Amino acid sequence: MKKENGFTLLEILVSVAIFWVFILGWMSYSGRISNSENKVHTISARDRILFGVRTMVSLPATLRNSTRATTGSGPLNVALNNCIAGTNNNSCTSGVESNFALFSPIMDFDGAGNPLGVLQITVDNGSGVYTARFDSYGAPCAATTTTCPLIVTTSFVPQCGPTILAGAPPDYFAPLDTFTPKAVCTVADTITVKFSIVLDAAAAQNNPDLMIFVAPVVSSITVSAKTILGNDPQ
Amino acid sequence: MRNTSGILTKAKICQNGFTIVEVVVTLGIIGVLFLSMNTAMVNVFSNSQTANVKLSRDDIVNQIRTVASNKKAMATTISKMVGGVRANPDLHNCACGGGPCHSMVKPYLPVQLYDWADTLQAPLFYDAVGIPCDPTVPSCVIRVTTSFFAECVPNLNSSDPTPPYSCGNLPADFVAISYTIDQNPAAPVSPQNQVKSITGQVFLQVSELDPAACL
Repeated sequence: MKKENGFTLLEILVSVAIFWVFILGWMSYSGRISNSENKVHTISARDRILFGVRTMVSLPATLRNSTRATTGSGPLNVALNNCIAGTNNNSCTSGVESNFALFSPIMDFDGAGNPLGVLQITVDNGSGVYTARFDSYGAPCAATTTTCPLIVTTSFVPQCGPTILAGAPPDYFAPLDTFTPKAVCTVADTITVKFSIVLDAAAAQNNPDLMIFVAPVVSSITVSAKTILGNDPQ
Repeated sequence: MRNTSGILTKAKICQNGFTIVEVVVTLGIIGVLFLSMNTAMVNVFSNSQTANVKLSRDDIVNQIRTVASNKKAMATTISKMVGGVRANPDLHNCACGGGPCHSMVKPYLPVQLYDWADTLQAPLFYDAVGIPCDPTVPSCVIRVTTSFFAECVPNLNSSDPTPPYSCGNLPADFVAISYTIDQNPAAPVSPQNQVKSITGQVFLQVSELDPAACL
């Protein structure tokens, strides 16, 4: 019987093929690591945006500019203006959420010190919802691109102050309605700004896993209306 | 005459090893596979290096934002003295008053950002894995710079509460620490260590700063 030492060509080819399958598997794993890295920096960008919007809307200057923004013929944010500016009697309804366009707190000036204008951050998406869009790195981007998945929306809920009592302040056993906000008012007591960051499903379609890992976040911050334009609640 | 037919038959039957054609074909196939694998591996390691730079940059952004929004760190930054002079005189004027401060000065004024432990956070340079480094070293690819702008307090009793350009030696309404993280211009650029520039701002209401900043 013939004694064969070494390997046949077929054996070597099969070995190399198996080896190659392992390498392909490892490369696929590396691809998943890269995918994970994409998720991590998208989550990081989402959290930075959340933090940035929170600090921005907590500035009276932001809500002041948002209140004063005009269309040319009237206020752009009618509901916000009704609750802050105090120009229309009892036109602010307590507890009713309204979408509004968020403006930057920054008033730009030219070199001679003349005011130029304020940047609008969230804009009407066509259905009355005010949104801004950011990419996975947290940079502003155009809505039409698939690499622009993070959407920020802004709205607010005013709260009117309670009826102002004549005479002595209530004691601890005063009726509850002593502290109940009025239904309508001319200047709100507080404004709760609500903002959310969600992932656009259409924009994230090239990476479906992103929808699972980058959960939507909703947050809010309450500011005193008086700090915005100096008007007392009424 | 010797009979060699037996030896020849034995040699023909016990043919161990490969023919030259088999060896060449096999080596050729292995070579092609390894060449393509090598390209793939280089891509994988290159992507890994790029991912390192991106993640480091994101970490640095978070670090700068954390420091800039920390009251104690900002008090340190505003009051910091170096060699008997203020490290950030313009920021001190806008945060504390007592000196000129203007709304939205461009370009933004530079700031040396210190954390709560009095450690300089910017301007600073980092390598691809986020370790501070000497900017003259080629692997020191990330540069962090910070600046600030302010907006003066408007007159809310006016019908036009547009912020004035000059704060009139009074503290500003708010200041914003602006940061930029980009490529160290002194470091050689390669696709692996390219730093995508990122900028951002942290807004601070001056009335809410730590009073210790102005002592």
